[in-house]
Parts: sequence; structure tokens; C-alpha cells
Amino acid sequence: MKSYIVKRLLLAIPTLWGVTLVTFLLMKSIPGDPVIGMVGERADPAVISQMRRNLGLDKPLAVQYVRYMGLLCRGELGRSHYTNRPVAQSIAEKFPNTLRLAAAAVIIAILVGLTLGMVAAVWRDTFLDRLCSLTASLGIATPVFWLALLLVMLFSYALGWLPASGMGGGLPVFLVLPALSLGTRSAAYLARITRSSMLEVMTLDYLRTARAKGLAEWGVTMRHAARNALIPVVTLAGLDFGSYLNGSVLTETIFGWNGIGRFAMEAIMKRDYPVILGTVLVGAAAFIVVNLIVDVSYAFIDPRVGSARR
Amino acid sequence: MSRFAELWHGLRRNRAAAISLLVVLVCCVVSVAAPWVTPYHPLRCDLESARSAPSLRHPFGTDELGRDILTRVIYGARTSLAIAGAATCIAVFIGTALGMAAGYVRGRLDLTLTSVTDLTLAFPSLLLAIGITVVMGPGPYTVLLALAFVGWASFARLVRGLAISIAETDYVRAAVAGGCSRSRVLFMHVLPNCLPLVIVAASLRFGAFILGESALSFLGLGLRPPTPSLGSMVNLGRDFMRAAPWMTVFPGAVIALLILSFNTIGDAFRDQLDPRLRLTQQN
Repeated sequence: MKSYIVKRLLLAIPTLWGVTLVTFLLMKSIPGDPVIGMVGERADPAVISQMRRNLGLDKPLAVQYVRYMGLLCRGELGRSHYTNRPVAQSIAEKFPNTLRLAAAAVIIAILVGLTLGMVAAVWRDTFLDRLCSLTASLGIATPVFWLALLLVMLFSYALGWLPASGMGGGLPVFLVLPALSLGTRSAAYLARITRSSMLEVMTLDYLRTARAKGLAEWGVTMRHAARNALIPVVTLAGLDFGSYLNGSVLTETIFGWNGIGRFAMEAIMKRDYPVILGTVLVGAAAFIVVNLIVDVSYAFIDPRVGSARR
Repeated sequence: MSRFAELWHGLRRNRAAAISLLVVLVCCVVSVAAPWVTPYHPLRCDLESARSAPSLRHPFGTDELGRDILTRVIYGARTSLAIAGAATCIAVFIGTALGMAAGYVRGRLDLTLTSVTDLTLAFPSLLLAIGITVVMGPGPYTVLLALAFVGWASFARLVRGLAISIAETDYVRAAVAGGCSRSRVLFMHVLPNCLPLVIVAASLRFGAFILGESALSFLGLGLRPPTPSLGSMVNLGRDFMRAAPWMTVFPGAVIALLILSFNTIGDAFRDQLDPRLRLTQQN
């Protein structure tokens, strides 16, 4: 198992290198000039060329890229064109916020999704099943930004129970609405996958055996069926968690959440190259790590996976 | 071609899907016929009745400039449907063409196309779309291209896989042995057998594109005010959530309804086509 993890982490290096190269090329192939965006079109040409020199944008592309790779090798991400703040510092400050939001959203998604999915599977083809499926369809179809605003209207304005936006210095009440908005879609998908995965498992022979030897239905469902139905659920939840770590632009914008997603979006709008590269790189790395954790966790859920791999 | 008949049959048996199809058709007809359906103009202001609550005269209420929200929702749905529809067509066309090329020709072309596909899929799609709109400036064509650019890759991946498996089937071997040209095999055998699943993916993608368009407009990167767009209407309503909640509620509900309908239709198609899923449903 250890050598497997090491191998996967080593494989991540060329992937991340590819991500920087592609992002770099995409950014630079964009027409327009970030310097003009900063100082305005009517600025003195001397000022413009001076700034371009300061930022190293007058060098050929290859030189700029090699310089950036040099920075990365020293563990740096460069400085923002606008604020001159080290990108790594800004990310270190914002990433924990994104992590907190993503974790809360995924926990909500797993709790709600598993419950709905298992209820639907156990009482299949009943009214409960249809209700759960309808709820899941609605959850998938509801745009996150609209759901967020509805939740704010209900819980902040009408009932006054929860704050409408901001982070409140880390108080958990400020986390509730953003996490609910972000997690709903994921919960809906998890409910669907849990239901179909459970139904598939419940037809297998060993479950018939378990029932035949007189186990209570509850034990059969929870211990035998649910555990084996868990793998696709874990995969999906892991994928969602990984993509939330890239930042959730809409949720963070609506709730004034100081996270990676908004940071990345603002950087794209301002063409702040080092910030774009830094956020994309960190997002990709987080995604890779989460996927690795998910793959490793298969071995704990289902022992057959681990032995096959080794 | 019997698979198409099968799709249609499945749609008729599935009540939720039939209702969804009806919703989509009604939305299309109403939004195309918008000027005749509603007595108001989407841009005409009437400050006398600004921010009035839903009533018989204004079923969805009016916004801060007294514009009728139902009218603006209809016109907004019109742009949403048009943009999502065009983006779906482009994405399907590009994705199917590249997927067939990669899956049937194989070799170095396959390797190149697959890497490009995987790369596109690996990037966070909303950020990629935002990047494209920033470069091209906001507007309907920008949104369309951004969505198509983000969305083609999933079709390419799907069709590539299908093409590979279809190329291994006996009837394709027979066609090749019988002297069919490559292009004839591709267009007469591979393409028709890919199409049903492509249609399923397209109807699911249609919903995703409506979501994408409204998200971009919500962020102020899609259609610019005063052009009515469902996403930008929700965004506008944010400033009046206490005084005029209907400004946010109705446009968003229509987005959700459209996405729900397209997803339900797509799911019904998929259940009909996927034999494994059908098996678990019959048990």
C-alpha cells in the first residue's frame, strides 16, 4: 500500500507540470495586455513598457515559463501583478476557508444523500421512494445561486435564524447556509447513486443467504448491503469534494466567502497571471490528493480491492 | 433505426418524462411566440407600478423599474433556450466528429484527441467559461461559444468509446469485408449506432447549458442588462430580496423547471436504452 501511494504521488508531478504548461499557454494565447488593464489605455507608453519590464512580461514566452518553473522549484508561486503580495501567502490564507466550506458541504451531502438513497432503496416503489427520487431530481435541477438566495430569504430575512453572508470570524452559524447551498446538488446525486447501488447489491446471493440464516432485515440492510453499496458513493463524494476544493465561485460570491474560487475568478477577470496559475495549480493538486485518498479508502471499505491491487 | 422507436416508446410510457416534454414544448412555443403572448414589452418601464407584488395584471409581479416580470421571464427563457440549443448543437457536432475520428481511426490521432479531451474535462468548467467570456467580452455569442467550448469534450469521450466498441462488432467487420469504404462504414454503420446515446447525452447536456448560461449571466458575464436573461434577473433581484422577493423567485424557478424537464427527458431516454439499468428496475 505504501509503495502504491508513493507511486501515485510521483505520478502527480508530471500531471501538475502539464497543468501549469497548459494554463500558461492558454493565458498567454489570450489577446490583450494585462498591463493596459492595470494602468488604462491612455497611460504614458513609457510607463506601460516600464511596467511590462518590471513584471517580466517583455521576455519571450519560453523565458517567462522557465522563470515561473524556477519559482515553483523554490516552492514559490510568484507575486500578484496588482497587489504585489506573494500568491502563496494569499492562497494559504484563503484555502482553509474553502476547505472548511467544502468539508461542511460534503458532510451534509453524504448525510442527506445516504439517508434519502437508502430510504428509497429499502422502501422501493412506494410513495417514500417516489418522494425521495423527486427530491433528488429537484436538488439536481436547482441552480446553486438561486437556492442560495432562497435560503437567505427564508432563514435570514423571514426567520432571522442565520446570518445572510460573511464568515463571522469562523463561527459555525455562518457556515450553515453556504454549505447547504453548495452541498444540495451533491446530496441529490449521492441519493440517486446510493439508491441504484443498494438495489444492485440487494439482489446478490450473499444477501439472500444472510436473510435465510435469519438476520433481521435491519442488519441485512445496514451491515451487508450498505457497506457494499458504498464504493460508488465514496467515489462520487470524493470527486465532488475535490472539485469544491477548486473553489465554488457562485457560493463564495453570494455569501462573501473569502475563498479560492472568488480569488481565482477575480484573477481571471483582471488577468492577474501569477494568481491564475497559482490557484489552478493548487486546485489541481488538491484534486489529485483527494482522488488518491478515495482510491486508498476503497481498500478499507472492500478488502477485495486492496488484495487485487497488491 | 428501431432504437429511435424504442426511445419514443419509452417516453410515452414514462409519465414524468411525458409531462417534462410537454413543459419543454410549451416553453418553446410560448417563448417563440412571446410578442403575441404578452401585452407588455420586456424593456418598457412603468415607474407607477414599480415593484408591485404578483397580481392578476402582473402574475409574477414587476421589477424595480415597473417592467413586467412574467414578460421578461418569457423573453429570458427564449434567449436561454436559443443559446443552450445552439451550444448543444455545436458541442454535439464537434464532439461526435472528433470522437468518431479518434475511436475509429485510432493510432496517433486518437492519442492526440484523447489528450485534448481529457485536458478540457480536467479544467473547472465554470472558471474556463468565465475565462472565455472575459477574453471575448460579454454577449450572447460569447456565452454560446464558451458553453460549446466547455461542453464538447464529454461527447467526444462518449462517442469515442462507442465507436471503438462498434468497430469491433460483426456487422462492421462484415461491411469492411464486403468492401465498404472507411467513410461509408463510419457514416452508415458507426454514426447511426452512436446517435441514440448521443441524443440522451445531449438532452442532459441541454439542461447543463441552461444552468451554465444562467450562471454566467448571474455573474454579470453573460447577457448584459437590459436584455432580459433569467440569470441576470436573479442577480438583479438580489438587491431587492426583502422588498420584492418575487424578482428573484420566479426567474430562478423557471430555470429550475427547464433544467428539471430536460434532465427528466434525458433520464427516461437513458433508462430505456441502458439494458443493465432496465434489468435492475424489473427485479
